[in-house]
Parts: sequence; structure tokens; C-alpha cells
Amino acid sequence: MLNIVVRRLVAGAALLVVVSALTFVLVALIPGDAASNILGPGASEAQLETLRHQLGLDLPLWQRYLDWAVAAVQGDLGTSIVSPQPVATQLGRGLEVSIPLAFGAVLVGSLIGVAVGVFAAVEGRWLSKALDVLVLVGMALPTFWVALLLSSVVGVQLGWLPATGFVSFDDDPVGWLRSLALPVAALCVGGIAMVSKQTRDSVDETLSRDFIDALRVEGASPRRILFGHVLRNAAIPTVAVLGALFISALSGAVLVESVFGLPGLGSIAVRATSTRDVPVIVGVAVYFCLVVIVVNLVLDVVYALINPKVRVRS
Amino acid sequence: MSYPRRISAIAAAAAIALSALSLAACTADPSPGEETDPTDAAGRSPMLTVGSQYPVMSLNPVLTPVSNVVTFAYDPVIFKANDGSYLPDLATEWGYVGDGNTVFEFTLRDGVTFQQGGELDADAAVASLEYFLATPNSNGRSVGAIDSVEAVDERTVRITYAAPFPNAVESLTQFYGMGLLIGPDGLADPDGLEAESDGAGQYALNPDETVSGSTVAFTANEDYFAPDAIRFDEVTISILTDANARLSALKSGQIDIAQQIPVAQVGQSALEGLQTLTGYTNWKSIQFLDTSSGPLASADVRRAINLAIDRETLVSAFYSGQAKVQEQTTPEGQVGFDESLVGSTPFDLDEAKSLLASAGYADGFELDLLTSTISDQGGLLGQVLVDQLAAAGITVNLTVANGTFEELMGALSGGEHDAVVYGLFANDLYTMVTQSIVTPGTLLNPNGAADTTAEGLIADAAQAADADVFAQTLRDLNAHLNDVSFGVPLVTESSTDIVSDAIVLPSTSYTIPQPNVVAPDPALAISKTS
Repeated sequence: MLNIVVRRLVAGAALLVVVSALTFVLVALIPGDAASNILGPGASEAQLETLRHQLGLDLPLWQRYLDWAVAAVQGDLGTSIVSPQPVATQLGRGLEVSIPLAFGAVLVGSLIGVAVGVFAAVEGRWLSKALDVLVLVGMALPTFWVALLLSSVVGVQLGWLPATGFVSFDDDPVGWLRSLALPVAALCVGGIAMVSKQTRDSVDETLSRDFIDALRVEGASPRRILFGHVLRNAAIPTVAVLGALFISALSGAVLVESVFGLPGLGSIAVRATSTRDVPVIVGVAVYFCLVVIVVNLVLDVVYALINPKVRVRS
Repeated sequence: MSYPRRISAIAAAAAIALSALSLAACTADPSPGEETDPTDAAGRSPMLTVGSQYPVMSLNPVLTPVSNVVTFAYDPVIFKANDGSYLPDLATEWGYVGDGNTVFEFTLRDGVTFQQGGELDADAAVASLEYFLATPNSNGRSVGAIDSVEAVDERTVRITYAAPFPNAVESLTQFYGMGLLIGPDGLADPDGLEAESDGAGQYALNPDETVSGSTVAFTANEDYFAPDAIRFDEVTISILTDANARLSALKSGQIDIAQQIPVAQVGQSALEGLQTLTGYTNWKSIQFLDTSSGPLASADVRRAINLAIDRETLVSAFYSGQAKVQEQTTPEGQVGFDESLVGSTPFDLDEAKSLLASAGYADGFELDLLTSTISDQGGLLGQVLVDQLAAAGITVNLTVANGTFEELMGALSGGEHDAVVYGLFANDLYTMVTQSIVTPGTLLNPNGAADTTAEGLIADAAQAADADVFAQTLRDLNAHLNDVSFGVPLVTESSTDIVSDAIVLPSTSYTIPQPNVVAPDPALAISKTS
């Protein structure tokens, strides 16, 4: 187990270096920079050069990256070029929104998806076939469209939940839950479809295996078979998709945050990209990467715990 | 095998997730838009919430490229009302000294304090102006070539320009960072302005309720020099970059004003019980990039292009009526606009062909036209122009520049294109001709197409003795640009704000649909009923 964790951490660190360096290079390749954005159209070349010097944008790319990396290792992600705020402060506030949003979508999506999948597997063919159709629909629905629909119907027409905005948990826990309800609902539709299909197929496959027949012959109750054997075996492939589900939720959050006016990492990324605010763009990329690494590490550990084959291989 | 009861535990787990969402829905919504408190004894309402599309880059009035948020905390030297008039604010008097428009003075109001405690005097104003001039920002090129700023006495500030500058009053209004004065304590720590404002405005930044990138909150400044002008105890700006989000927030009562709603949403949305405010803030035109040789050197050819454009059809078919025909270089409502030029450029295909023939292009010619997705989404307007000019025998080779402003600039200055389709913010003609068009080296004339008459009139306007002379000179310039068909004005696009019916509106203008939320005269600012 320790071996798995160490290997994943080393790979994660390497990934962080690659992602941050690539982000630096890609941003540099986009025409324009923060100086032209700050001074606006029509600024003279002399004005631009002066500001570039002040912002350190005239240094070679490798030197800017090295300076950033040395500071980042010490926990300093720098200061936004556009507004003099520490990047870590901005991103910390963004995480307060994006993390609950993504985790909420995975939690709700997996709970409902597992329930629907198991129900479809044990309740006969018509439900199973209906699920196939619903899964297709769920996967095909664009997240932003679902978000718009929920905001318009539930938020505006019915007035049950806030159509936009975010409330901090510290200010009002109930308000926090209400402000996240619709965004989470919009984000988890695809997850429900993905998890329910995976679960249904896994339960189906497990129920058809010989040891289940043996258990029935031995007189094991259906409850014991389902909860003691089927779900444990069926959970292995389901847990494997949760990582993909989380990444999908995190990337989908960019659009959902825009529709619901949430100040998450996605909104920060869009704003920083439009102003060529390199420290913030790289910071967002690193934070996204870190979250994905941590979540995948946790899922790897869980996967190893419930799947003995992985432990043996490691 | 059947598990009717046994799977109930799993179903219950799913129910936890569902109930978390539905329980949340059962709690009362405390959104600010639903508050119904009456105005207090001072005539103030408790809260105003504005949905803004612009991300707030900075709360420092010099650094922010868009001043609509910081003006809550920072009053300008001179206030510009929606009808275009200039009113006293931090300054009570102002004017040029002597002839030539190179020295400008203003007198500061007595008894004004900044939010962090400093007093407004000439030294404080000079320090703020000098900070603006020393700090790179997007408004720097709009305030003239300033040679020096000095305190004449305790209340009088003098600005000396290196060259005649006729727009000193405009440059000190709320639309430019220079006029929004910062107090001495704020200037001592400019980074701190992101957390604590130091203006002399009606509201002070409330850092506890402000969330970076999402919400900017202000609280009434009880030390404001005209307390009766304050209409709200608190003002909140909600940053909702998505127009659908702004409309949803407005309809559900979370905000009172949804700014900048695009044409498509205005047409599709049910807006019962809401007020729609439309202004005309951007204009589109074709600007010629090289008139020194080839077909475009002929004024007849340029006039033919103007006559070949069916602007009415553009408005009705392309803009679904959400635009207005524009035939002159100055949009309606701006200094330089000439009523007599309305109708001067009708759609006349026969006359266009005749002019082309008389110029030696009876069989037409090829025009390399550049458009950019920055101001022409998908290059669709450019494509319509291709079709319209084809009817006159002009073959347009359209290039659509996808991407950034820098890419567009590169394409403009590369000399590969004859003309460009571009959208400009509606402004007075002097500002436009000195910053964006006509003057060689500006944004849309990078290769220096020269017109000595136009340059002479611009120089005259710069030294105009008073506002009337200034306006007349700009009208003359406008007429000249029309005579020589310097460009091809197309349409003025509408901009729409949607506001709650609880908002009581002051008059708004043709060009600026946004009602003033803050104004030194309460009659000019919005208020809110219960």
C-alpha cells in the first residue's frame, strides 16, 4: 500500500512540473500579454515596453518559470499582475466554491447512480432497458443546458432555490447548501448516468457468476447475497469511474459556475485568461492538477483496499 | 430473484442525496431583491443590488479599466450627467486659463474628506493626479499630454498640457481614472485600496461582504459632502458574466438591475414587470486603410461603397431592429453629430454603379476587407457586406481575424488589407479622431492615410476658444469626413439594461442606457420603492 502511495506522489510531483511548465509556455504562445491588456488598445510600444519591464515580462520565459517555481516550492504562488492580490488568496476563495461543487456532484451522482443501477439490475429487464435509454439521454445532455434549465425553472419560475450566487458556509450553512443545490444538480446528471450504468452492468455480471449460485444453493438470503457479496464485488469497477467522474465534474464546473454566477476556480481561470494574468492562470492549473492528483490517490487507495488483486500486484 | 424490501437501504442512500437538495429548496430565500423595507427617514432604501457583466480587475480607480464599480466609492472632479452636461462634484469651478487650451484650472469644494480621514485640498488632488500619471493604466492616453500638475493655492489645481487639449473637462469626469481622486492615506498604500477604499464618494467599500471575483459591497459613507444624495444604505455589485445568469437573478429578485443584456436575450425573454432601457453605445463602420493608391484613392469609389450599403436592411434583418442606421462619423448624441447629415447617404445602387463607372471601375474591382471576431462575431456582418457590395460589382475578399486584439493589430498594420470592419465605442468626434480613426497612426489608420483638411480641423478643435466653437468645429470636421467618404459608417448597436419595476429611474440618454446609481444631485440618480 505504501508503495502505491509513494509511486503516485512521485508521479504527481512530476505531473505538477509538466503542467506548470506547459501552462507557462502555452500562455506565452498566445498573442498579447498582461501589459497590453492593462494599457488597452492604442498604447505606444514605449509604454508597453516600460510596463513589461516593470512586470518582469521582458525576462526570458525559462527565467520567469524558474523564478515562479522556486517561489512556488516555498508556498508562494506570486501576486496577480492585474490586481495586486496574492494568487493563493484568490484561489483559496475559488476552492471554497469549486471543491464542494465537484465533490457534491460526485457524491450525489454516485449515491443516486448506485441506487438506480442496483435497482435496475435486480428489478427485471424493463427497468434495465429503460435505464439504457435514460443513460444515453443523461450522457448526451449538455451540462450548461441542464444548468440553464434548472436556473430558469427551479430558480426563476418556481423560486425554490437561488437562481444565481454563492453563500459562504461560514456566513450561513443553510444558505450555502441552497446556493450549491442547483449547480450540483446540473453537474451530477451525467455522473448519475455513468455510475448507474456501470453499477447495473457490474451487479448483473456479479449475479451471473457461479459463486452466487453456490450461495443460493447454500440457502443464503437475498439480502446477504446482495449486500455481503454482490455489492462488494460490483463496487470495484464503480469506484474506478469515480476518478473520471470527479475530473468531469471539475471541468464541467467552469460552465456551471458561469451560468449560476459562482466565484469558483473556473470563473477565476476564465477571467485570468482573458487578461493574460500568468501567475493566476498557472496557479489555477496547479490547483486543478493538485486536486486531481489527491483525489486519484485517495481513489487508488480505496480501490486497493476493496480489490485484493491490486494489493497483490503492488 | 427479487429484492423488493432489501434494496430499500440503497434507495435510502440515494434519498439522502435527493433530500439534501430538496430540503434546501424548502427554506425561505433570503435574497436581497425580496426585501420590502420602506425607505427610511433620510429617504434611503436599505439595499440596491446591481448585476454587472464586467469582472472587477481592481478596486483601485486608476488600475481598473472599467470605472462603473469604483465610482460608488470615488467621486470625480467633475460629474458628467447622462444628458452630457458637466456638473460640479469635487470641483465647483473649472476652465481654461488664457488661449490655446494648454492650461486648465479647477477649484476644489470645501469640507470634503476622504474615507480614510484625509482632507481634500489642492495638494491631495495633485498627489492623486500625479499617481495616475505615474501608474500605467488604460486611461492614460485619453487625458491629453500633461506637462505638469501643480497646486496654485490651497483649493486651486492647475494642469498644464504639452499641446492644446480641448477635452480637459471630459478627462476629469467619472469615466476616466484620473478624475476619481484618491486620498493621501490610500496613496500611501495603493495595494491596500483593494481592501479599503479612500475616495470621497457616497459609499465606502465593505471588505467583510466583498468576495473577490463575485461580489463588491459598499456601505453608505455618512461623511459624504452631500448626504441627501445617498439613496441606499448598502449597494452590492454582483459579478455575473453570463447574461442568462443576470436575467435569471433579476427575474428571481436577487438583483435590481441587470446590465448589458444582449439583443438575443432581450428578444427571447419574458420581461413582464421589468423595465427595459436601451441606448446606443457602439457603432460599426468600414474604415479604409490605404487611400493613397488604387480604387480607394478615388472619392467617387468611396462614395459608391457608401451608397451600395443597404443600412436599413442591415438594421431590420441582421440586427432584428436592435440597431440604428448611421451615416456619419459621429453617433447621435455625441459632440460633432450633425442633424443635417441624416439621410445624406441613402441606399442607391444605381448611383453607386454610376459613380464606379465614372471613376473607371464600371466592371467593379476587388476589395480586401478585414473583419475581426472581436467586434463581428463569426464574421457574419462582414459576410453580409460581401453580399451587399457584390450587387454593385465590387468583389470583396473577406478575411476574418479570429482571436486577440494583438492579432487584429498585426493584420491591420501589415498592409495586406484595403479596409477593416470594426466597432468603436460611441464617443465625441474629437476623441475618436485623435485616438481611433482619421489621425495617421491611430488604431484604425495605422498606415497613415492623410487628409490635410481633416488634420487642420482637428488642430482647430484642439484650440477651440469655448465649447460652442469646439462643437461647431467638430461638426465641420464631421461634414468634411462625410464629403470625402473617409469611411463607411454602418449602424449604431443598441445596449440594453433591464431593471426591476421597483426602481425609479431618472432620465437616461440616447447613448447611455445605464441610469446613474450615484450622482451628486439626487434628482439625477435612481431610487427604489418598497
